[in-house]
Amino acid sequence: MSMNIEIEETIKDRLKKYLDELPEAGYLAVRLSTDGCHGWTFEIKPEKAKVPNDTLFEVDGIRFGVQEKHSSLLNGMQIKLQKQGLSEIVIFESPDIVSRCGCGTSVQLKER
Amino acid sequence: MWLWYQRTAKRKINCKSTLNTIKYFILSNKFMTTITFTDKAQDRIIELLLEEDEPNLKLRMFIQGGGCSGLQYGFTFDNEQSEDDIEIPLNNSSKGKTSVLVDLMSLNYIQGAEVDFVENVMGETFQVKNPNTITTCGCGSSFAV
Repeated sequence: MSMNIEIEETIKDRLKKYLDELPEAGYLAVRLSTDGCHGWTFEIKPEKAKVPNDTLFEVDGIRFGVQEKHSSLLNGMQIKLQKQGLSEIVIFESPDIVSRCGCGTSVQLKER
Repeated sequence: MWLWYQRTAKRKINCKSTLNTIKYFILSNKFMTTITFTDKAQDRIIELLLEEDEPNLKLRMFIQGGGCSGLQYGFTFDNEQSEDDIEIPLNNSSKGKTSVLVDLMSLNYIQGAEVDFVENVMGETFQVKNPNTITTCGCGSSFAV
């Protein structure tokens, strides 16, 4: 399966570091949940083995997985690092995002 | 003699000494806890200060309006200390020693809070566990008291 995702250079190393800690069948799962104040929350969660209904794909040598029903929402996303004061958080960015909460973790997506 | 006493008393009751008394009261009162920083948070604060490479620089923690729950924590570097600042010493890190500045107004809202540094795949963040809050937003950066 091909997925159109862009990953910012600065976080590739960080993601690879977490991937290296996993067994060979492991991958970074992008989990979408409907909590948070703006609708959707994106989270990256390391998985040690394949979870049912996950579609696996690779971007720049980093193995990812996403639930099949969420793959269309993830397509076209950019994964970026956002600096907030002294903290750094990974955020998901795309033209489909209408608004996001103050800290950026929860987003509202354009209806399709 | 009486005149001399009156003069000294007058001198003592000025703004500066009142502030110092309040500061002394807060720092010396065992029942009034200030803010604690976990070892991880202390390590990271010192690392960040070393990166800035300015000897007098200190971390300032403050409260500002904003975020979805009304108030927000703020962290910034500051090399100026004002009269109403409380200094919280950080002594637990092997990387060095520093102190965190908090103004009295902000301290009011974060009395007894614990600051932790959390590192995971989603990023590196300072998280504040604050016993004064009634609600916090999803990510914990905004809160209400």
